[in-house]
Amino acid sequence: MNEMMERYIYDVTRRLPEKERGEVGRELEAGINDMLPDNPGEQDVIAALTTLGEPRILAERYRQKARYLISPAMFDPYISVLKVVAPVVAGVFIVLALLTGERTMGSVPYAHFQRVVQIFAQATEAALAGAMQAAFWVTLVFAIAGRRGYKAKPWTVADLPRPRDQKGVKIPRSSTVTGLILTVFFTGLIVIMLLRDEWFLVFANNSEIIPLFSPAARLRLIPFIIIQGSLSFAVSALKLYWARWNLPLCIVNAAYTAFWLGVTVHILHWPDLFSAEMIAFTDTLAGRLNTVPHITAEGIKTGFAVLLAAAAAIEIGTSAWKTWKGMRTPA
Amino acid sequence: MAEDELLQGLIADLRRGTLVLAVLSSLNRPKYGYSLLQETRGIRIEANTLYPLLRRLESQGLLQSQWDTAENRPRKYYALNDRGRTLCARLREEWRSMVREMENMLEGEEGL
Repeated sequence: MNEMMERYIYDVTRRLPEKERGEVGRELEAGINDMLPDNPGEQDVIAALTTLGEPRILAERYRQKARYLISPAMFDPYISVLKVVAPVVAGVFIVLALLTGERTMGSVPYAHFQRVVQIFAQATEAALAGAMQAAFWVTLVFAIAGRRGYKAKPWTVADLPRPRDQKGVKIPRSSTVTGLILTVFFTGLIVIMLLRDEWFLVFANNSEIIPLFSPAARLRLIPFIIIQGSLSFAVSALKLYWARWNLPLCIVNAAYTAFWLGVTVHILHWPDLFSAEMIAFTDTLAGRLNTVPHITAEGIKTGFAVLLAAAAAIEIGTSAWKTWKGMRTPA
Repeated sequence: MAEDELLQGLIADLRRGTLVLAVLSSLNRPKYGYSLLQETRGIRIEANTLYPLLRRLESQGLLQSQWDTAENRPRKYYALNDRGRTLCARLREEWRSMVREMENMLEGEEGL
């Protein structure tokens, strides 16, 4: 047999089940020989093989069952599961990485900025690793289920989505998932920064380093941050579940927003929130800037509280408006 | 250009449906792949479609095959078996009634 023909037949048959290779190979050889004139030259063989086309496509036609990793019937549920599992596992990986990273990096004398960069790098790496792990295992489970002939139950009209599910303004899944990831990330980051005194926002006054919070307030803040993070996570999970604005979600969201506003304003009024050094620094700053002599730590606090209240009002207002818009529109 | 491509695609779709009937109805007598290619030239069936199709029809129990190794070139001959003959006859009937229906439809449209 011509060498090129042999290679062609091999390239087709190697993609087929073992028990079919011999027979298909013989058939192909006979078919190709019939396409060739007597005493064929190299060009004749090339022409015949080109007519038969790409070996991969020919093999696909010989193979009577389509091959796939995830069957078309299971593709939609596969994507839905992946979209939920991957971000959650990524979040868990971030928290784990920050906790272990905190322990191992404690003894390394990095500069503050480098440490923050290091934390971001670690968190990103962990998020990617988590998402890949999740994708791998979800794919494996679905591939095995498909291979074992798992079939979703036959469709009936009862499977149609209920009309109320289609009412209301949609909440983009991507924004909710991003929210979930950021919540886990920043809650973990802030708690760790609070635990490690020298990591938290420092103001440099010439060569002097000024911690932002007083040591007592710093530790008292931690449970608040954790509660805030958990509640935010829960609200995002509800958004993911309902996927549309509705009255219960609007109420929960408003309650949560009011809660964190109240807590934050309360914390801002702790008399020992800022460190003595920080207060002294803002006072000297105010003293130096004669044009705006009223800048004090108190003034900053009040300004900040007003800004937060405005943000909270906007959040509650927007969600209420979206809910009202959805309820008003007929299904 | 886009029109041409679209038309070619639609024609290919039309032709695809006729392949099985064309092949089955040519196999009352045993034939090998290449001779069948020559015979069905009118409906432009490709070698890389025909060879796998013959194998599929055999595994579906409509054809029987036999190698002829007496000649210089060994060839695999395919022919309808009893089941294939029965099914082919029914397909032929179906085809004829479809053609009649289609003709009626097309003539009706043209008359408008």
